[in-house]
Amino acid sequence: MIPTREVYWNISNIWLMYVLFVPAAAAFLYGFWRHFRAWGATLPADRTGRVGERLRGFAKYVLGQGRIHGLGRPSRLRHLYAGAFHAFFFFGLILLFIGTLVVMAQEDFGLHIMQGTFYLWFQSLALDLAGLFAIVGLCMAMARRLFFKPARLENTQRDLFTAPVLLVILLTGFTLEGLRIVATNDPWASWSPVGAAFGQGLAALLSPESLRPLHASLWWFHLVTVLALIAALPYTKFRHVFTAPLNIYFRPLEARGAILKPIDLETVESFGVKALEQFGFKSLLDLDACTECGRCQDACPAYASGKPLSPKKVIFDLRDLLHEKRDAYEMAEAAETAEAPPLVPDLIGEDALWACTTCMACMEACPVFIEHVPKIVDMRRYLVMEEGRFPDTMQQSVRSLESRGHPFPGNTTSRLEWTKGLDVRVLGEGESAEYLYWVGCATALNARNHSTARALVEILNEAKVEFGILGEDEHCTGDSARRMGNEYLFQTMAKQNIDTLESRGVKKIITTCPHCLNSLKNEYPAFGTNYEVVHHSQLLADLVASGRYKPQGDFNAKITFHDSCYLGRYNGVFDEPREVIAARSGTSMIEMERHREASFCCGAGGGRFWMEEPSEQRVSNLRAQQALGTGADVVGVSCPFCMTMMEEAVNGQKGARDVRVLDIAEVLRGPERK
Amino acid sequence: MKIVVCCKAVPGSVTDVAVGEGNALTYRSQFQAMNECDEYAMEEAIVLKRQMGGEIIALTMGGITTQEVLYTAAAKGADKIIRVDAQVQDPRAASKVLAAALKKIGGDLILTGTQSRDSLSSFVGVATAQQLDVPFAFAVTAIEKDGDNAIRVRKELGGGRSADVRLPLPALVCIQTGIQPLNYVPPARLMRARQQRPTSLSLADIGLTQADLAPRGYRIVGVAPPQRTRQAQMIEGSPAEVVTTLLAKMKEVR
Ligand code: SF4
Ligand code: SF4
Repeated sequence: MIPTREVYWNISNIWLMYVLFVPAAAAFLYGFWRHFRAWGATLPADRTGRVGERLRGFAKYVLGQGRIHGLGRPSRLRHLYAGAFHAFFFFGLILLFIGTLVVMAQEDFGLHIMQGTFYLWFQSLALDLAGLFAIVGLCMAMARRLFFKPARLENTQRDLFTAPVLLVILLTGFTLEGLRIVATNDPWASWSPVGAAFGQGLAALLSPESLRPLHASLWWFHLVTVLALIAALPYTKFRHVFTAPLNIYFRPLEARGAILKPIDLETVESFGVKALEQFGFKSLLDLDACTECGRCQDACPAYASGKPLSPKKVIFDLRDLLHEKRDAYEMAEAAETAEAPPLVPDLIGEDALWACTTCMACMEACPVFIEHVPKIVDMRRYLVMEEGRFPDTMQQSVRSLESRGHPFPGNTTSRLEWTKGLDVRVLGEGESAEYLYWVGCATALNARNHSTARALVEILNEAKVEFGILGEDEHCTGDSARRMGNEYLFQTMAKQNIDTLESRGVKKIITTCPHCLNSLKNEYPAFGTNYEVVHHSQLLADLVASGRYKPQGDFNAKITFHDSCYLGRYNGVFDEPREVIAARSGTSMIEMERHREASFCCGAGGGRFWMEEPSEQRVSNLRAQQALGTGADVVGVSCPFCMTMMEEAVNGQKGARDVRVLDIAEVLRGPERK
Repeated sequence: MKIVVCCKAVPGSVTDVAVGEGNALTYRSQFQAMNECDEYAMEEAIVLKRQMGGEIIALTMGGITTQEVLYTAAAKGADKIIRVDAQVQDPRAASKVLAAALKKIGGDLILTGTQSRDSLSSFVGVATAQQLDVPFAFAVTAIEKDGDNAIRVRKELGGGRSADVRLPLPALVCIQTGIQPLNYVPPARLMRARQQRPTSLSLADIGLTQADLAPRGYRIVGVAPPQRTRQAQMIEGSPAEVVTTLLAKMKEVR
């Protein structure tokens, strides 16, 4: 006898199933069609190419669930419990879905595959276990919501509805299987252990003649529940079953630091995003892809420091508006008239918008690659470019950029002051060197950072690296202007700097500032440049590894290293600064919990450096607490802005302890040498 | 009311400053911006226009690059922008050019800043008024209309005192900083303003010759960067020690 089972055993009038299927499918398709229509039809070109890479990412992040469990990532970004239960029902439900397709192939297409070994191993055993895992996963998820809910999650009514419905479907499925096994005395019952166990339990409770009628009515109930869930999918957060994979497929592939796209100032008529309709396809798809996991909020330094910004709430608010608008009228028509009330401040407060440090922690944490930062910058662009509306202290910095080429109002330090007594060549027009050392305003104009530059230059000279600087002809790269939404100023600065760099025939650049690094390396190429740009940590790690520089003397210190957002998350440089620290003998490293990809901003990015804020709201104070909490004697930094923020905060909180903030170049050279 | 605002283009930061030929300063500067005091005058003009109607004309003088400040003025709200094509550093010559241009342009109220960031002489506004032979007020912190043909202004007298003065129109007013908040010019408006073509006046158009620009009685002898005196002292020690030292120092000074 060939192992198999009778499909639709005990069920008559099977045509009714097909009839019921029609409205469910219609509701499903209509729901998704409305989403698609609202997102707009046009996909930007940079989201359609590189199909191979997109598919590989799809495999890793959808099938491999890479960012849901976060295996291999720093502990803050690992979620073993959630990763486990999600994988349980993800794979469980996928297998069960395939099982349904097999039934369909057998019944509707006449392919007789549901028999023999395949039937026993897959259709019986594997699906039985898949159902069991899915149930376990759902129970784990519900238990978390009920008994140990992390603060980042909100229980909405829809959440309370969907998981139980899935559970009912799975349990009735097992009940049906059990009833069939008992009633037909299935000879292969042992291949469906869970179903068989349900069957035995039911047989003990029920009389033999009630099994069949119960089975028939439960079957229809099960079917209707499944169809109802299918119909409801696009209308609940479970739409992410479809939207999240799409979003992951269309995720940004460019370097993190190149994610803000230049505006074509010549042709574009209005700048930035004032109304929801002005967001493009991917930004709107983002909104519907959100799984409401709250991980972005958990990672956000602005939120942690009590500011009115939560990246999760930004996404929720925009999404709710999207749904409201989509229900009210056609998005496409609205895009043309665009007379809707402005998003800021009507939907998102100005305080919230300006609280973002553009640190990228949210985007790093998001399991489905939602892009918060470009949306925030797009809204800033509108406010600044069209209305000139942004915080006062930032305005002073922008004025200084415009009139003096650096963002520090009132600072009259010469860009060459730090070089006194050192052998540094200033490159005039037409002169060149192997490397250009791009000093950066925050290093050149802030006395505390002079010793970083001096340490670096001494090392370069000792290692016989041929380099020069631009001196007074160096100006701000425009990084903060861009992040404050002032794309016009950014482009003006960029073009001017590119002229200066071209006039010195520059090919290779060293920077001490990760913000300069990011602009020169990732943003300037959009204006036709192609420099090889390295951060001093990278060059120093190289010089040490190749033996060109030999650090001298011991530096007995326990060091914790604070990853700069623009060096780490933006440019993936995590190892080199640690190698540089390790190269100095006597040092030992203690990591903070939030390190590498999970690092916590110092609070300076995105123009926030120029914002006044009350001490209890300073991101830097939180970070200093984390750093001091490790018991380290030295907080290592690799960014002149981090230096200012961290030094102030550490000094304010260290009390009687002797803790210093040092740049990695100072650590390598020896902080005692000035 | 026809309001003319004189706005000067000043370099942001300069390097390689020297005294060059013709007793003029030479320097390198990559950034030019509207002199901040004049920007306050511009902001006040916008407020006055909103209250009384009329038009705003922004006037500058200098080479073609000084047009930048006119675009800023237009983006802020100037209706007409005019540049006198004359390179002048000497304040007396500058007032001569401005007066000649203003005679041609006309205007009920002429606004200037109190001083320019580069030469800090506070000379040009007053000298221009004198050459136009119109009443003027210096360091003005408020303007209001007083009848059809006059304004009432509050001007600073120094030492925290001020005076209210009535000026019959036409008049020239040197605006004190802070009279209005400075509004940031949105780049989009600046870019639109750039579409306009400023009117350009040559010296001949305003009835002057190059000889009129020769500096008289005013000579630059030399330039030097500000001396850092390093007089700031950092007081170290525990809070109690810091306070004791600080109090002692204060007594010393008194
Ligand atoms: S970039 Fe950083 S500060 Fe901005 S929303 Fe994301 S996590 Fe928060
Ligand atoms: S945006 Fe991403 S990280 Fe934030 S709640 Fe939504 S899915 Fe989670």
